[in-house]
Amino acid sequence: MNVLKLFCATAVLIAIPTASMAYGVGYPDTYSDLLWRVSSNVPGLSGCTELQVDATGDLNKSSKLSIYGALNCPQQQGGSYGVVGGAYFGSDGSFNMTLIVGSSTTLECTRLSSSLSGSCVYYNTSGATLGPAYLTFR
Amino acid sequence: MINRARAAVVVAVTVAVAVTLWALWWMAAPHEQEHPAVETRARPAADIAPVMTPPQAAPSIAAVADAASATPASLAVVVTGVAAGSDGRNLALVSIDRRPELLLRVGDTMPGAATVVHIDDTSMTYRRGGVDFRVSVQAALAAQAGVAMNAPDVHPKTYPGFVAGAPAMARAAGTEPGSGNDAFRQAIEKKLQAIAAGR
Repeated sequence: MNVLKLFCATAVLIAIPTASMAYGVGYPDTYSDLLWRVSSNVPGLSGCTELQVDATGDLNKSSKLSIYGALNCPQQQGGSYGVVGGAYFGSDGSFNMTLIVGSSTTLECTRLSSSLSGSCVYYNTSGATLGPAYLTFR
Repeated sequence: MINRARAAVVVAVTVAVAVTLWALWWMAAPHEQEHPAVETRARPAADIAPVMTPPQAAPSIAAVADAASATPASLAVVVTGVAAGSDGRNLALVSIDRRPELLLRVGDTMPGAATVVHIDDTSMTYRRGGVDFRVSVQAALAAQAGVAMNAPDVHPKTYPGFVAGAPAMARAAGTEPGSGNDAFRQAIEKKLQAIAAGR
């Protein structure tokens, strides 16, 4: 009986480190000053040709990123739209990103390739399509 | 038999203690692989500051206003905003002689036999008596003139969500546009390899 107790205690002691390792703590990195060239004919946004953001996430333990920055527009239009959103890597390795642009527009990029470039779509607050945009990761 | 059991227990306890000590050392030691040397370039606050600055005031219209007020039958014209109309033409929000604002397009007539001849992103020009008067959008002047403004932060051609007056995000000196992309590419390549490996 005593042998059995000792065996169980030993098993518990061996299991403790393994269990503690399961609670991994993430260390997010911030990737700064990411630039995309933006091309679109959507009225009011056609002049906004540069997406400049930072992205924060722990790509070692997660597939998600928080993204925040600006959609830069010509000076004549008054400046930039603030953007905030997120992105994730799909199980197929695709890059999927959704950004709120200003307060009334959403930019959705689904299944971008590993080049992080491809077609996206602008939507309004009602979800109606405003028009396409093409993002090129510089 | 009992001696063999005791020996087995001693061995088991020794192994457990060794494993525990190793686990404690492993958890305490730094792990380079968990913290890849991804270059992060925090932007100095001074670089971001321009984005946070309030919109720059439009060029002063004091000269125009003075010229107009020098005329006995002059109009007190205040342009508090310019917007894009649904037809693509610019609209100017104008208060004349401290009356409620009018929405004017090029070609519209104004009180005092004046006609709007031009509207751009920062000003409106009207013609009166064969003379053109250019009035800049000027929220501050509108407030000074006692004209009620719908928005305290009137800005030329305002779109919802604009970070008004931001010329662009400033970059740290010596950095090239998109220089953060390379570090991101490296991190993504590593991530895609992990995904492909099913990790």
